[in-house]
Amino acid sequence: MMDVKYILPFLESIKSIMEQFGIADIKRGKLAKRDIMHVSTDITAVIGVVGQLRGNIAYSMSTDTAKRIVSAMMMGMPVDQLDEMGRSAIGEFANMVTGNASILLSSNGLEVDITPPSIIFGRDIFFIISSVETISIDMVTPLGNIEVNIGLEV
Amino acid sequence: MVIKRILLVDDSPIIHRLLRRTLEKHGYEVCGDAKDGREGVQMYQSLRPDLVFMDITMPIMDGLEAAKKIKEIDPEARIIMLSAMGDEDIMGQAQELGIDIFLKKPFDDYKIISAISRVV
Amino acid sequence: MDRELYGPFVTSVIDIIKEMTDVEIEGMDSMVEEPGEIPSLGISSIITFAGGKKGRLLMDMEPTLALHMANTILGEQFHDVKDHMVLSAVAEINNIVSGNAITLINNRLSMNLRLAPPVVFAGKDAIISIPKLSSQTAWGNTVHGRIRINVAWEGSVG
Repeated sequence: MMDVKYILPFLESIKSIMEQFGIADIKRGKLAKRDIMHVSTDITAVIGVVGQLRGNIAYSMSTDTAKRIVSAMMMGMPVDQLDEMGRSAIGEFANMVTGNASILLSSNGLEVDITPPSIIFGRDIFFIISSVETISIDMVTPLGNIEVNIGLEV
Repeated sequence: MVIKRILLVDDSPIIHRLLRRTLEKHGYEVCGDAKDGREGVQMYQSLRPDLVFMDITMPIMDGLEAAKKIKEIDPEARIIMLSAMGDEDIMGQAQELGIDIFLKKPFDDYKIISAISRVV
Repeated sequence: MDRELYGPFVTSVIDIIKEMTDVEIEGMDSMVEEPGEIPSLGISSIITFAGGKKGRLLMDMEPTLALHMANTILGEQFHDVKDHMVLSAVAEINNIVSGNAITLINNRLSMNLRLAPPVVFAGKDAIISIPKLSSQTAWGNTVHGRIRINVAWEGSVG
C-alpha cells in the first residue's frame, strides 16, 4: 500500500487551503483502495504530478459542495449556479491544494511539478487515474464531503 | 548465445499481452512479467533471462535505473529498451548505460523480432 | 497557433492508431479553437505534461471505436467500455500518442517535458472543462466512430 507520507501532504493541503477561506473543522473520513474509481458525485477535478513523484490526484464533490467552496473562495459571495467562473474556481481550488502539497513534498526532498487541472462533470463515471493503485479518502468538511483519490506511482 | 527466455518489464498490462503474443508466436518463452523496475531487477536476479524488454516510465523504479541495476548484477545482461518516450536526453542516458537497442512504441512483430536478432 | 506545439499530436494520433489498430482516421486536417466545454463522445483519456511549459492532450472517442481498437489490440471481444482492459487499452494508446508527440517537441524545442500517467474515463454525458487554457480541437472520422483530440498549452495565445 502507498506510503502515508505521500498521502498526508494532499490531505494537509485541503485543510490549510480551506482554512485560508475561513473554513475550519475538517476531518478525515474513510479510506479505501481501488483499481477503478467510480464517481457518483457531479464534479471531479483531476490534476497530474510529474518529477520525483508521478501520478494523478482527483478531487470529487457534489454540485452543492462545489458551490459552497466557490462561495467561500469569493469571500462568501452567493453562488446559485456553477457558471464558467465557478467552474474555473474549482479548477483553481484543485490547483491550490495540489500546488501546496507539492511544496510540502519538496520540503521532504521530493521535487515535483504539477500539471494543468481538468474538470469533469457528470455522474456515474468510471475512471482510471493510475496504473498502480488508487487510494481514496473522504474529507469531511462543513461545506460537504470531498473525495480525494490519490494515484501516485510509488 | 541463443536467446530463448525473455523477461518483460512494463507497467502496462496491454504491452505485456502484446509482447507475449508476438514473442510466443515466434518461439520465444516469456519467463517473467514484471510491472515496475524494482520487480524487474528482482526477477532478473532470480530468473536470469537471456533478454529483457524494458519500458522507461514506470512506477517505483524507472527503466533506466532498473537497467543500470541489472548491468551491475550482470554486465553481460542483454536489454532492449522499449518506450513511448525517447527524446535525446533519455536516449543519451540509455547509451551511457550501454543499452544498444532502443525501440520506440508502438511496435509490430517485425520490429521486435529483428531487434532480437540484432542483440545476438 | 504555433504549429510546432500542436501539429505533432495530430500526426502522432493518426500514425499510431493506424499502426496499432489498423484504423484509418480521415479528415483530421485542421484544428479549430475550442470555445469552452467539451461534451465527451463516450470515452476520454487525458494526459498532462509539465516542464518548460505545461499542457494537456485530450483524446476523446465514441464507444464503438474504443471497443474496436481494444478488441484489435487484445485479440478478444469486449462489449463494455467500462471494462478495465478497454479503459487500459485507450489509456495505453494515449500514452504512446503523447509519448511520441512530446519526444518530437522536446527534441525540436528543448522543452524537457515530462508526462503524468494517463487518466481515462467512461460514462454517460460527461463534460470536460479546462479552465483558463486556450485549446485547439481536431476532429476525425473512422469507419468505427468519431474521434477528436484537443490540445491545450498554458500561456499560449492559441
